[in-house]
Amino acid sequence: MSTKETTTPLERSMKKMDVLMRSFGMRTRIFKGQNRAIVKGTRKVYPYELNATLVETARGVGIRIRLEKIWYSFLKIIPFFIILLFSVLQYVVPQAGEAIANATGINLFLALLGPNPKFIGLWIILPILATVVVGAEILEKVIRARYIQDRMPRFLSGAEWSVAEPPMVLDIISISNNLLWLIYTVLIIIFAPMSFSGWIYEGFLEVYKVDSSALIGTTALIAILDIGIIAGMLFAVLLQNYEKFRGSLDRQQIRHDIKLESQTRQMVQAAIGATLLATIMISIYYFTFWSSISIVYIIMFYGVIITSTVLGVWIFWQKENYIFIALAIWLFLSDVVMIFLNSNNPSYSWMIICHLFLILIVIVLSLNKYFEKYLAEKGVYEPSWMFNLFPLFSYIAVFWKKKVRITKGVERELEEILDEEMKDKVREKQPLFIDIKKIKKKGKEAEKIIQNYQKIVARIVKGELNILLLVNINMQILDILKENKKLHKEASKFFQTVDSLLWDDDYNLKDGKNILEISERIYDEIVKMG
Amino acid sequence: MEERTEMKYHKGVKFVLLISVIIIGNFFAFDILAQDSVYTSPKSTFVIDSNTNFTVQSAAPLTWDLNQRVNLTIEIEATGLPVGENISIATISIYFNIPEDPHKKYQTSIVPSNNFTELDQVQIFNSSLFAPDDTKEFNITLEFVVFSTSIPENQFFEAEFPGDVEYIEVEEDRTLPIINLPGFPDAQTFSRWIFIFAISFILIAMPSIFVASFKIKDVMRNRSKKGGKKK
Repeated sequence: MSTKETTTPLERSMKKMDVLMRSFGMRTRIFKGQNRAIVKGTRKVYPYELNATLVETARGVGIRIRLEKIWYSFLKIIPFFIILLFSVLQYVVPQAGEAIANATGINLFLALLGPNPKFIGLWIILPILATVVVGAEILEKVIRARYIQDRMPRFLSGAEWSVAEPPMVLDIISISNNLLWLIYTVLIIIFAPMSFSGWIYEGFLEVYKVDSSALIGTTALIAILDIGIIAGMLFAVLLQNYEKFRGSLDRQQIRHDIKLESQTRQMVQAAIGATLLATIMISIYYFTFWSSISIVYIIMFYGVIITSTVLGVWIFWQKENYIFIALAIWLFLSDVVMIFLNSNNPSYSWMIICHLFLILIVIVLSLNKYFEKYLAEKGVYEPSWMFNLFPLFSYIAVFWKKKVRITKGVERELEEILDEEMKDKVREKQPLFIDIKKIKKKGKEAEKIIQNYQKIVARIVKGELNILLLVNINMQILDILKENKKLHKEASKFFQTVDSLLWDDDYNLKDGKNILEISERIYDEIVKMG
Repeated sequence: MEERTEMKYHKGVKFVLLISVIIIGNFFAFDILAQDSVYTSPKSTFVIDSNTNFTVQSAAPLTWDLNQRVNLTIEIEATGLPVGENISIATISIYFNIPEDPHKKYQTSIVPSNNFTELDQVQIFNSSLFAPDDTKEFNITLEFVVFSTSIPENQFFEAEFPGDVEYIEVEEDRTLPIINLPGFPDAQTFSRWIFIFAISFILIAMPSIFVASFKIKDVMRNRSKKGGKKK
């Protein structure tokens, strides 16, 4: 009971909302009026804004959450749109691609679409995937807003904080979207020589003494193994980081309910997530880079990605960075194996060289992880930025704004709030003490109204009263009066007046006679009902 | 703790030993397997005249590895030679016979330098040959051009190897070459590919580049602040 005791409920709610939003990795701004405050939270990686309007009423602080700038979610369409645009161009004016190829040696369209794209399938799958990804993003934001709203007490400072995380599948879709485009870039690197203009490609084949179909076949096979392993492991990293993020949040906010999750559940979750990831990947790559692969390869891809995800989760538990070492080892050892396979089948030659360069990418990806702490200092807490190619503008926004209320220290503040809440709870459960002297000052009929209220309450409950109980009793009375609509309305007004008389120090009773009359009628009705 | 590290050390030694035994064992195993057994053809006797004759016997493995030299040994013995006469072999020509190919393929010739002057004199000729690369089986015809003091005109004799077995088998050796690395692509392809790789690489590295650049900026700003305070 220190200085905090002097803060008003509005101020406390405001602070709580502020801390809660910041613990989600948001940066906050607060606008405070006499009995109304707005807390604005902004998240900068795929940014969106949450507006919390807090209003102080007679019964406590009311809160309403509103989502703003939801259009940012649609930025996730951009890469889908680029692919769609290029596939339409390649279909309608293939000469354009050839012209570029003649001039520069690279067929830009085919470099982006793979050596042998299937247009119809691509046009069907792209809008579906884009809808799923953007839909999941928006749904997550809506659920998150709801979640904050539900966690905040509506009228009583001590209401329970409920747990309602967005479903895991939304996280998995978001992770899959990140990895989909990362791997797409890797596939562009792998299949680039196949999109070079005719004479360059022929020279390439001549050097390696291999025919085109064998080269594409082997490249697709090795690409499937590579992508399966890389995507699986990175998926494990992201999934575990999300788990950590959510886990730490819950530990901060509901520490009385920490549940230790079983390892098996996490493994199964990872495997199911990997299946979803593989489906999303195969549905877009089958129409672009892997257009020639058979059903056996597809089954193999599922197998590899699920195995490597489960393995990745296990490695993550040992140490997160081991995953990147494992990836480098895979790329190197498979290279050695391919060198020996190549003696009888020169179609491996290309992937041997490609692997040397892919190791560089693994090194860069492992760097991604090292900047986590720095980003957390800047207020970016969610792991959705990891392995993400596109939200450059949001990075810029994060770093250019100098003064931010950051997440650091949130834990301590949350602790203080929880302490205060506990005290509130204790006070709420203590027997209610009504100071009649104070109430008398608020108006002529004030005393009588309160006495009538006590009479009404006594008909419903016997024994000691506390604040929590009063709320329930009011609800019960309203329920009893349900059929008499006029009286039901008047009862609400009566309860509001009673609330103000009991707890609002500056309240001045007007229209006292009318309220007194209502209270008597309610009492009669309750007696009649028995 | 010490005991434990010692245990680990012992384990490590055992492991290294085991691996070395396996590797060295493999060398021996392959060495033994690599020695092909040599087949010796039946003796064939060629008669120059009623008293003068010689026998030919040749030896070589029955499976020849592609791209590997194989030794063909030809042993000639003067089995009938009256005193005072001699047999001189002008050339020994080696031809390959490939099934379903009517023409025999000339490989090489041996020109012996010495004549046969005594009875039961033996001369051995070696020739190292490559198996033909366009067939899976073949046999060898040895053609001898011979004359003697009694019949000074050239006479032709032909011997077959392997003789009573029909063909020599050609085996494509799967372990050769062990490493086939044609190297980096030609400059035309490689320069373009490096360009694409660089762009993709920068895209993938973008988060790191941004974070790193801003981190450096922060560090620089802090440094300049500190410097300012000192002044």
